[in-house]
Amino acid sequence: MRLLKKFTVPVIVIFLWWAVVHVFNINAFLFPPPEKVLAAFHHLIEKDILQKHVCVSFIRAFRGFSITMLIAMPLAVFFHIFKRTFSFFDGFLNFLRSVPPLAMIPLLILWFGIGEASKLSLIILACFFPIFLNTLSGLNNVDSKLLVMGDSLDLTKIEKIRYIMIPEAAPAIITGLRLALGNSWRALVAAEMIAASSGIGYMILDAEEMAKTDVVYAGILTIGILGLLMDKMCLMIMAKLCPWMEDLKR
Amino acid sequence: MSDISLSDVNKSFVLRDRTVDAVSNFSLTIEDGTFVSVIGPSGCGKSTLLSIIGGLLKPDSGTVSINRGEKRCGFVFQEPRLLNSCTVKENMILGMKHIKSNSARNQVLADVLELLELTEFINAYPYQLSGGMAQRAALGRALCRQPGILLMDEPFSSLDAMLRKKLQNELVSLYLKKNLTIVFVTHDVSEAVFLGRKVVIMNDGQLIRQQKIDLEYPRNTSSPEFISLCDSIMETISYSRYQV
Ligand SMILES: Nc1ncnc2c1ncn2[C@@H]1O[C@H](COP(=O)(O)OP(=O)(O)OP(=O)(O)O)[C@@H](O)[C@H]1O
Ligand SMILES: [Mg+2]
Repeated sequence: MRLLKKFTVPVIVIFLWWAVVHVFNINAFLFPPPEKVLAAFHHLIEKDILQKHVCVSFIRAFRGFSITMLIAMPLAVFFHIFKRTFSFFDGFLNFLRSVPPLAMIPLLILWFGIGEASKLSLIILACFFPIFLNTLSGLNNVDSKLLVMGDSLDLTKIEKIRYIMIPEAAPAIITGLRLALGNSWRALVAAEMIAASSGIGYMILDAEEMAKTDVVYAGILTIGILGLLMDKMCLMIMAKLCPWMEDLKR
Repeated sequence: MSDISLSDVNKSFVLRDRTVDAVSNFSLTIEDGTFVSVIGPSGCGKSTLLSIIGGLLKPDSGTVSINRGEKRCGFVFQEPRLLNSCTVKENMILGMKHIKSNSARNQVLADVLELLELTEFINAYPYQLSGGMAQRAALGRALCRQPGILLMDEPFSSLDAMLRKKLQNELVSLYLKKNLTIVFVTHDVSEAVFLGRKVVIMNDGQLIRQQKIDLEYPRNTSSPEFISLCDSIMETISYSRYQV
């Protein structure tokens, strides 16, 4: 039943796609029918092309995401402890946040060249703020009454961090991580359009130049489906780690 | 020997446009092993007073001496303040560092859960509990500390009449058996008189009156002495209210 609910809309969309293309006899170059895209998928998978590009993209996204976590979370902890210092940086950080990462591409290429570094830095720019800001507000919003409760049980500082601060901030941190994961995946494809030689973004760009529209479609679908799966997996891991958060279970 | 003594304690809070004197010029001594009920209208500073007694809040001026010795304090807050990330059991065990052995700890836990009729919910998370169950879990967390001093802020306020009666009786027998020192905040006059050896009446942050209750435990709520004590306390409360 749940499966039925989830798949109804996609199935209808695919059917409409198929019907529209055939009924109006649309040029397959502009809008290839589903079966042609499926054939492209088949070809890409059989030749190990898709797997290779997906793997490369995954590793890039994961690298960028992990590096950002290692920077943004400690920074958020720092600003949580030294709240006063944050007001100095607040305006500057907000300025940075308002600049879309994509607008930074020319500068990034100038600074880091067209290699791996500029792609990674684009992903870092795209994930930094969701992780940093959500972690910070999660920590800052922990109910001080719970910490007083911790005092009443004679908890040590470490125990208060372990049992109160971290779990109470977890929902906000998780939201930040999820947002960042989505951002990193989206920024990645843009990054791979900067003169990459592999990755899904590259695959799409390359197919466009070769006028293989069906491969472009296959690439777009792959990005969407993988993004969806990654979010689901993220949710599953978090539901395991935080069994008390009921809204993760859905 | 007195366990707890406050002298000339003041505590005020600064709000946006004014200051609130939550507790002012408050002096009180609580002898070792006394059951004190604190009663007064909403907002008169009862919770603030209790936090000061428990050492959770520093007064602005005045001295507080708490002679804890080896005794642990058990604090029941007005709201449950359970940790959402911990089950009922984990919430309770958090305060049981004084018991080293696992099996002894589980035994104490099981007894407390049994008393509070929460045994079935030992592994439930706070979001799965009703309001009254959460309140009982918070009460259990304090009892699990096997405290010598119990500070309780309206611990029975959201329980049904039957369970409340049962827990009042249990609290009295625990008090008599363990010779605890208890400070019990309530807004229910008859509960205050039923439980306390002394009733402290507060209004507007100040101590209005202290009334000794010399009735034998368990007290008979329909005896004329009981009723007249209740009436007299009620009168003081309503009188002080109109003074302001
Ligand atoms: N953390 C706080 N910040 C500001 N004001 C506070 C704070 N805690 C209490 N107050 C103020 O102090 C006064 C006394 O509050 P308190 O909670 O002690 O009352 P109470 O007697 O426990 O009331 P109730 O019966 O409703 O629980 C109130 O006017 C309240 O607004
Ligand atoms: Mg109160």
